[in-house]
Amino acid sequence: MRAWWTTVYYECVKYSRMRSLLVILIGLPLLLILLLGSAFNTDIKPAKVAVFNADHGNMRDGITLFWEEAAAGPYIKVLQAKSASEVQDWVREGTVDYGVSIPSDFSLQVETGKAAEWLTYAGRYEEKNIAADAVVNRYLSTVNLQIAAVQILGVMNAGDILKEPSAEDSIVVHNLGMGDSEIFGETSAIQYYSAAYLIMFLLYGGMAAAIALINQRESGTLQRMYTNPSSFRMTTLGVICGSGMLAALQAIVIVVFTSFVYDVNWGGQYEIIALICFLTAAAGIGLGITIASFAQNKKTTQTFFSIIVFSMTFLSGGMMTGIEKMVGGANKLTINHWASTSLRAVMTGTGQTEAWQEIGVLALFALCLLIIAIIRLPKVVKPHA
Amino acid sequence: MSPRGYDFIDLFQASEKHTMGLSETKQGVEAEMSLVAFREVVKKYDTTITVNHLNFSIGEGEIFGLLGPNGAGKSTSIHMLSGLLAPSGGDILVDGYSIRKQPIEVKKRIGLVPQELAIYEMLTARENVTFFAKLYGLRGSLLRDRVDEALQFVGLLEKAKDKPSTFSGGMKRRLNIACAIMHRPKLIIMDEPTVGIDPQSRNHILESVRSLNKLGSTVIYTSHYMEEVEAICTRIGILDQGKLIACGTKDELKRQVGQGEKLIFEIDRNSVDMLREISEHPGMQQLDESDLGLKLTATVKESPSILQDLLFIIQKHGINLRKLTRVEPNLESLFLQMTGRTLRDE
Ligand SMILES: Nc1ncnc2c1ncn2[C@@H]1O[C@H](COP(=O)(O)OP(=O)(O)O)[C@@H](O)[C@H]1O
Ligand SMILES: [Mg+2]
Repeated sequence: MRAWWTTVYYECVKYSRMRSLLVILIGLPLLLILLLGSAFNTDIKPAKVAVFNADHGNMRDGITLFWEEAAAGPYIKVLQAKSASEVQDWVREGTVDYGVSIPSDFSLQVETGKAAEWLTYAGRYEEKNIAADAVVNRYLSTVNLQIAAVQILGVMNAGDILKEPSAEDSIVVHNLGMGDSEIFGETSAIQYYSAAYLIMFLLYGGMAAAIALINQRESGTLQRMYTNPSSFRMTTLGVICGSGMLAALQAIVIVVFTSFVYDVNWGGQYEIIALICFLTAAAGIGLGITIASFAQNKKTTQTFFSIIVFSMTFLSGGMMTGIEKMVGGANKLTINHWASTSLRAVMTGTGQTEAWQEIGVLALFALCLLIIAIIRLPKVVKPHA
Repeated sequence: MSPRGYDFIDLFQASEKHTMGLSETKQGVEAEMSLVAFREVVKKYDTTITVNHLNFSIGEGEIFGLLGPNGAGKSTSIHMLSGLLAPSGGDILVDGYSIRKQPIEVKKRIGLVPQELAIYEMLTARENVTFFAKLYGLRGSLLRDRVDEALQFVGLLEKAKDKPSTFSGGMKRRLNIACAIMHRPKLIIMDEPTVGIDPQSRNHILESVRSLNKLGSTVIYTSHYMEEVEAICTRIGILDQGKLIACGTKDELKRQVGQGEKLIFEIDRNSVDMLREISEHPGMQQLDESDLGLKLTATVKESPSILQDLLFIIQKHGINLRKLTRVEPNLESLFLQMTGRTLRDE
């Protein structure tokens, strides 16, 4: 036990001095998360829309309701203005991103079957103008469509019909921005990539165990441990656990850094996140040792391991979202898929039972790889290969 | 310099008491007398026999040299002795314990200095020694003292905080030694510790082998440099193609060859009478003249009186002796004679 702890401790000391390794295993994922996460996240802030409603006719309640609904969504924030000129002033000053002024005869116009118009004022940010335009158009196009229907089908109570236009599904440009897009599922882009790259680099961290063992075999220090009266199993396990510590450090730094600096919401269930990271790192260590037992040297091990981890990340959608739907279920064969989906489920706090199923599959992967690794371990650590 | 010094002797006395009580578990009587015993040791890789029925013993306090060309099987033998490789046949006893049956007991008594450097570049000299010391079970103040002692012994105490990446080849070799001696092992095994280093470090290492031995450790020293082995070893085993072709003290080995020593006389003038008298001496094997007769090289049978006799003859003829050189037969020629090959393929 002491031999184990001694080895773990000195492995950690060594890792702490390998600056370039730490940069690759911890700095690189943080950079990738930032680049990919923010590339798809530029439109994350809602557009502030000033609204002045001068209409006191039948449509007034429907319009008020419509804007309340729109404001409840993530794209629009509504500010009530006291006059049409205030709307214009606010837009000009930049207090708001977009202005809407509803004329006092709007209800009347609609009821008499005339084309309905709102006065809109575009602000300086194009993407926000698009978002606000989309909301306005949604309302007006529905109303105008129904006016046409009224004209053709005869008299109907316009107020009843006009409650129908809804702010939902009205925005086309938003789908890369926020959490409810199809591509990123329930999570935001930055959450999605945080999960994907945490997993990918934890797997890479697992390779450190195999590399450490090969290095120590090639440098003869493993043989030196073997001439030692303390248990060789314990010292070997110590070398492996040393890289486990490295993985733990990776996970902690990535989670803490992304949540404080990038504002990533990890969902708060840190014990489950720790479990997922543990299983992923274990699977990575198992994979690394298995590959090393066949490859026999450092270079081949690194090459094969990189190819496999890279492919798994790609297939599971960690580099290009949506890939997983095109690969005919091959994504389900990757460690990354099960680890990322369970992490994302934890982040959004939805589908707890589903998350546990995915964690179960991940654990199965880790267990199988570790068993193979234990069987193949002698091939890696045997002093005379 | 150090108030402690490198004192193995305490440990030996302690461990002897300890092993005495366990002597019934030891393997026979012969083992009581020798520290290391190779018995019919064989190592096969597939069909090739790398070590072929080795049989020899090493007594306590010896510096035993294992001499042989590259590929002779020196490292393989050493690895079997230190538990790195399982023998294909036979057994090795250390202090009476079998490497097959009681490897832990054997390993406790051994410090192996491997042929290849086995140190961590990322750890300082002190951390390197401390790490292995901890694996030998040393703790606390004893640990610190022994680590200091070992570093001091190899002359690296001042460099204790530096990483080996800043060291010269010789310093790395010395650190490699420090990592194997801090637990004061009964048996220190050095596998070609002087390969590829400068003469100064080489002398330092040879000197440290002698001191370790004086302090009580038995040493096994492998090399393909016969000068080294001749210089420091009390007994020598010559290994060739996995077989022990000769074993004994330097003198014993020379007697095996039956080759006499050479005496070189440098004189101020020559005389025919003197030459005749010298060549008629019963101990004379061969007499050569050179330097216009002013240098005589006499190959003689070994006997205590011959040198005295020859000096008497020279003096009798009123000839002055300028210089006398005595050349002993070396192991190189011994090896050549036994195998028909030289130790080093140059
Ligand atoms: N793992 C191995 N498989 C096959 N042959 C080996 C192996 N290890 C060493 N040998 C062979 O055993 C012989 C002795 O090697 P070694 O003990 O290293 O010699 P030395 O230390 O005397 O130079 C060499 O011919 C070497 O090729
Ligand atoms: Mg060798």
